[in-house]
Amino acid sequence: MSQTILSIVMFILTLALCPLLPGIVNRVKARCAGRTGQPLLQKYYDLGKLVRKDVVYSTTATWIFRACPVAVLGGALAAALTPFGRGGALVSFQGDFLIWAGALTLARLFMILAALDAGSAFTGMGASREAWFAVLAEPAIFLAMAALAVISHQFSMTGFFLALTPETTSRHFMALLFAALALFVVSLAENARIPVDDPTTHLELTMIHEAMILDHSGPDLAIIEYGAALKLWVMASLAVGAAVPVDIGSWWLDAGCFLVGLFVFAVLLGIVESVMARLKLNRVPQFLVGAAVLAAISVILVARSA
Amino acid sequence: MWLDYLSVIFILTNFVLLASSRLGFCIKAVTIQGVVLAIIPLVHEGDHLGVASLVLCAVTLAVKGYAFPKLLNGAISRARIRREVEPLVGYSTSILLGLAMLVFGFWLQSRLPLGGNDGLLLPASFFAILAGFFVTIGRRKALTQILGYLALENGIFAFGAAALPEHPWMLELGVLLDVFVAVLVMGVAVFRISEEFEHIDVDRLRSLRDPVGEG
Amino acid sequence: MLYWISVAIVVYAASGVAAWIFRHRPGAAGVLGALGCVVAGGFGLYASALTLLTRSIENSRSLLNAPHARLALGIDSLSALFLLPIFFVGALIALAALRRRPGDYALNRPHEHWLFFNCTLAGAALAVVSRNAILFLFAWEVMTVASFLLIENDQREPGDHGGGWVYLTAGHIGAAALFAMFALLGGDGGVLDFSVLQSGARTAGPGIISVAFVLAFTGFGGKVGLAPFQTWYPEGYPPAPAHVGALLSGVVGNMGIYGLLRFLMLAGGVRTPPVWWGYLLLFAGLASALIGAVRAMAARDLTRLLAWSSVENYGLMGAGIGLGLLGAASGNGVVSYLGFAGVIFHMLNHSVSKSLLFLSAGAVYSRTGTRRLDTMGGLSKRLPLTGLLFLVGSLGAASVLPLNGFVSEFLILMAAFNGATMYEPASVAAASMFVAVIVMALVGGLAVAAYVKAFGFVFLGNLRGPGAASRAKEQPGQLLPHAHLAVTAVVLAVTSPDVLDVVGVTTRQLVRLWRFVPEGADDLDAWLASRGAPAGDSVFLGAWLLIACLAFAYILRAVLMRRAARESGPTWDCGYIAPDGRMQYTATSFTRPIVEDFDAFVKIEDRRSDPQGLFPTGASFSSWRPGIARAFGFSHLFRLVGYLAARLRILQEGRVQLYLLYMAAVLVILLMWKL
Repeated sequence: MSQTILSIVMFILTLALCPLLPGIVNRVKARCAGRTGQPLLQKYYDLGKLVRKDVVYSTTATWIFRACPVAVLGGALAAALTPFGRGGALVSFQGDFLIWAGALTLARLFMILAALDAGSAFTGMGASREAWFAVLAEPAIFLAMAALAVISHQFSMTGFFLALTPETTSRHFMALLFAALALFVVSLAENARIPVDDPTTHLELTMIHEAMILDHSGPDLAIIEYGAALKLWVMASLAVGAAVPVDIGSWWLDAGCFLVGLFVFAVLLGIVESVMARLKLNRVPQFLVGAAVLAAISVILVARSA
Repeated sequence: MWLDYLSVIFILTNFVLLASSRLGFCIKAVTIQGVVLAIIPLVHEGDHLGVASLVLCAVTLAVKGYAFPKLLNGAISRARIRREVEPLVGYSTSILLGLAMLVFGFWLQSRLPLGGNDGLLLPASFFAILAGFFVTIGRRKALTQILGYLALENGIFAFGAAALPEHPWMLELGVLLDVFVAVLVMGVAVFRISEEFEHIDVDRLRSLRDPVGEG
Repeated sequence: MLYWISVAIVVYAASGVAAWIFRHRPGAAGVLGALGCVVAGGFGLYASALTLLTRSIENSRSLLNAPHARLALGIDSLSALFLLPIFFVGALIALAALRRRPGDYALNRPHEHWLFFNCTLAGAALAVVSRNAILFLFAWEVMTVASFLLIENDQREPGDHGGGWVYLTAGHIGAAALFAMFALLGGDGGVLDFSVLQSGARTAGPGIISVAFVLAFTGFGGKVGLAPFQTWYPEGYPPAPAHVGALLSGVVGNMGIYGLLRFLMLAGGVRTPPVWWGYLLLFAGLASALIGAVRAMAARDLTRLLAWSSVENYGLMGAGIGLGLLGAASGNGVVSYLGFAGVIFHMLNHSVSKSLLFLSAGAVYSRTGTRRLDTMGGLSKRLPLTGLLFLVGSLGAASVLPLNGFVSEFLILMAAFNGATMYEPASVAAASMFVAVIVMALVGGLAVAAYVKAFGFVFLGNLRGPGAASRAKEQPGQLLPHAHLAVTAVVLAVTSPDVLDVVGVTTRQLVRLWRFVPEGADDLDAWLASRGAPAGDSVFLGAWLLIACLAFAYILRAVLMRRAARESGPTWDCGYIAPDGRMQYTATSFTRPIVEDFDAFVKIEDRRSDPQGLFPTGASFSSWRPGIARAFGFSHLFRLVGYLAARLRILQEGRVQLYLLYMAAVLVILLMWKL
C-alpha cells in the first residue's frame, strides 16, 4: 500500500518538479561562467508567461502542427508513467520499457512532422537533424535496456531497478556504470543538450530542437517546453536508476536518494555543458556511436559476470 | 576487483585512441594507459611487494607517464600539427571496429589455454594490441602511428602482466628500453621530416621511393 | 469451409475471364472484375474467419486423381490466417482500382488488367489451400505470371520497362528452387501430397531436409526479398500502378512468409531443427530489414520508398521466424512463441498498412502525376483525407506505438530480449539476440525517418509541385476502400489481445511442432505465463495508457487555449517575409546526412558544376543514390548471364529444321543415357 502511495507521490513530484531540472542546469552553467544566472524557477516563469500569451499559427500549417503539442506532452506523460528508479513506477508490466521508447518515438515523430508542416527552411533543417540523431541514439538506448534486462532477468522498468540488490549491484557494478554512462550520453543527445545541440540559442544554423519549434507560440510552446523538461526528467531518471542503486530499505528514503540523484544528474549536465563545446555536426554520429559502444561494453561485462 | 577497474580504464583509453582526431588527446590517452600499466604490478603483487616490481613501476611511470608525453607533445608543437585530418578509416567505423576487436579479445580469452584467467586484463590487452596495430595502419600522420605503436606495446606489456604475473621483470625493463629508444628515434624523425617537408603525412613519403622502371 | 473457399477461387477466375470477354466494353469489364473480387472476398472471408473461430482443420478428399496431380485441398488456421489478407485486402484494392476517375491515368486495357488481377488473387488463394506440391506450384506460377503481366500491362513512364522483367526472372529462379525442394522432399513417392511429403520428411536424412530448407529459403525468401535477394523484389513496383503495388506488397508478398511457415510444418516437425536454420533466417532477415530501411529512407520515389519498406518489414518477419526457430532449436518455448506470433501478426498488420499506403500513394499520383518526392509538398491542403489515411498507414508501417505495426514488432523484439536473458550469457545465441536488438532498434529509427519523409514531404509544408495548381477537391467517396483499411489498422491495434488469441492457435501449432513443452505441461499458455512470456495484454495496456495520456494532453491544451486569441500569419523565417515552396527543405536534403552515415548500403553520387567567373552563366547540381548490391553484385551477375545468353544465341538459328535436329539429338542422347 505504502508503495502505491509513494508511486503516486513520485508521479506528482515528477510533474511538479521537472521544470526545475533545466533551471539547475542553467544555474550551474552560470556559476561555472562566473555569473549569478537566472533564478532556479525560471522555467516556471517562462511557462507561466507563455500560457498567458496568444497564439500565432502559420498559414502554411495544418492540423499536424496543432497536434504536435498534444503528442509531445502525451508521449512524455506516458513515458513518465514507467521509470522511477527503485520501485516508484506508477504502472509496470512486461515489456513496458519498449512502450516507454515507443511513446517517446511518437512524441518525436510529431515534433518532426510539425517542423516540416511549418514549411520553413530552418524548421526543416532542425527536423532533418532530429531524425538523424534519433536513428543513431536508438541502438544505444536499446542496448542499455538489454544490459539491464540481463542483469535483472526482468522485462519491466520497475523490475530492472528492483532487482538491483546490493549483491547484484556489487557483482555488476562496472556494467551498471557503463549502462548509466551510455544513458547519460544518449540523454544529452535526446534532450538537445550541449555537445550535440545548444539549448541557449535559437537561430544559428547549428540548432536542432530550438530550430524545430521556431514557429510554435503561446500555450502550444508552453506545452512543448514542458514536455521537453518532462522528457529530460524521464531520461535522467533512467540513468540515475542504473547509477544509484540505493537500497536502504525504506521506500521513502530510497525515493529521496533517487531525487537527490536526479539533481546531481542536473548538476553534472551543467558541468558538461560548461566544459564542453558543441560538437561539429558531422562528429555527432561518432558521439552517439560511442554511446552505443559504452552500452555494448556494459552488455559484454554483464555477459561475462552473469 | 581493482584490476578489473584498471582494465576498464585501459579499454576506454583504447577507444579514445580510436575515436579522437586530436593528437593531444590521444597522447593523454596513451599516457593514462602507461600510468595504469605502471600501477598494475603493484595491484597484482598485493601484500608481498618485491623490489623488482617497485623499480619496474617507477621506471614505467617515468618513461610512459612522463618522458613519452613530453617528447610527443614537443614533437606536435614543433611540427605544428594538432589533429589527424583525413584518417584512412573513419572514426565511427574505427569505434565499431574497436568494439569488434574487444569482442574478439573476449573470445580469444575463452579459447586460449591460460588456466582460469577470467579477468578483464587479458581481453583488454588483446584489444590494445589490435587497436594499436589498427591505428598504425588506419591513420596518416606519423605521430598517430607512433601512438599506435605505443598502444600496441602497452598491450603486450598488459598481456604479460595478465598471462604471466610472475614473469621476470628484468625482461620487461629491457623491452621498455627498446621502446624508449624507438620512440626517441621516431620523435626525432618526425621532427626532421616535418622540417624538411612541412608535413608528416606518411602517405606522401611514397614520393621518396625509387622511380618506377628506371632501377 | 473448404467449399466456400473453392467457390471463391472459381469466382475469381470466372470474373476475370468474364471481364476479358467484355473487352469491348471497358466499363462493364471493370465492374465485372471488381465485383468478382468483392463476391469472392465475401465468400472467402466468411470461410476463413469461420475456420479461425472454430479452430477447425479440414482436408478435402482429392477431387481429381491424375497420376501426379491430385486436386488435394485443405484449410487449417495457418492457411486461414494468410487467406484473410487475400480476400479482405484484395477486395478493397479492387474497389479502389475500380473507383479511380477516368481522368486519372486510365487503365490501358481494363479487361486484361482485371483478368490478371483476379488470376493473381485466385493463384494466391489456391496456393494457400492446396495440399499437393504440383497444385501448389501451379497456383504459385499462376500468381507469379499473372502479377508480372499485371505490372507490364500498365506501363506509363518510359524507362519503366525492365523492372517487371527483373520481377519475373526473380520469380522464376525462386520457382525453380521450389520445384527442386518439392522434388527432394517427395523422393520417389510419385504422389506429392503434403501429407506424403510430411511422412517422407520423417524418414529422410537430415542432410536432405537441410538442402530442402535452403531451397525453400531461396524460393520463398526470394519472394519477399530476404537478403541476399533484396534487390529483386522492389524492382517490380515502380512501373506498376499504385494499386498493383498494394496487391504485390499486401497480398502476393505474404505468400513467401506463408511458404516458409508451411515448409516448417511439412519438414521441420520431426526433429529439432538445426541451429543454423534459425541463424540463417535471423541474419538474412535482419540484413534485409536494415538494407530495406536504409534504402526506403534514401528513396526519392514514393513507390520505391514503399517497396523498400516492404523489404524491411518482410525482413523483420524473416528475423521473427529465425527467432522462432532458434527458440525451437534450443528448447526455448518463450522465444519461439513470441517469434512466431510476432511474424504472423506482423504479416496481417503489414498487409493492411502497406496496401493502405500504396492506395493513398495512388490517390496522390492521380493528383500530381509524379512519384518524385522532391517535387511534392503541402498536398494535405488539397487532399486532407488522403493525408490522414496516409498518416495512419505510415504510423502502422513504421511501427509507431499506438498503431498496429508496433504491436507485432513489440512481440518480435520481446522474443529477442527474452532470448538475450535466457540463453547462456557469452554464448553465440545470446550474442545474436543482442545483435537482433541493435539492428531492430536501428531499423525502427530508420523506418520512422523514412515515413516522416514520405508523409512530411508529400503532405506538409508549402504547396509546391504539380499537384499544387489544381484546386479540385478530393472526393471522399473514392477513399472508402482506403478508409476501411485504415479502420482495420486501428482495430488491429486496439484489439490486439483478441487478434493474438487467434494468431496464437497457429503459433502454438508451430511451437508444438518441436514438442519442447516439458512433460506434464500440456497447457502451453499456462506454461508460457509461468515462464514470464508477455502476452498481447501488456502492449495493449501500454497502447491504451498512451492513448489516455494523449487524451489528457488534448484536454489540457484545449483548456489552456481557451483564453488565447489565435492569429495567423506567414511562417516566421528569420526575417525573410516571403518564404515559398522552393525554399523548403526537400526530401532528399532531409535524409542526406543519414544516408551519408549509411554509405555502406547506398552510395551518393553527386555531379556538380560550380558557378565560374564574375558573371556566372550557370551552375548545376544533381545527386542520385544507386544501391550497392545492384551496382556491385547483381549487375555483374546479370551482365554475365546476358553475355552467356548472347553466346547461346548461335543455337537459335531460326531454321525449323535445325530445331528439329536439336530435339532429335536430345532424344537420342537421353535414350543412350538411359540404356
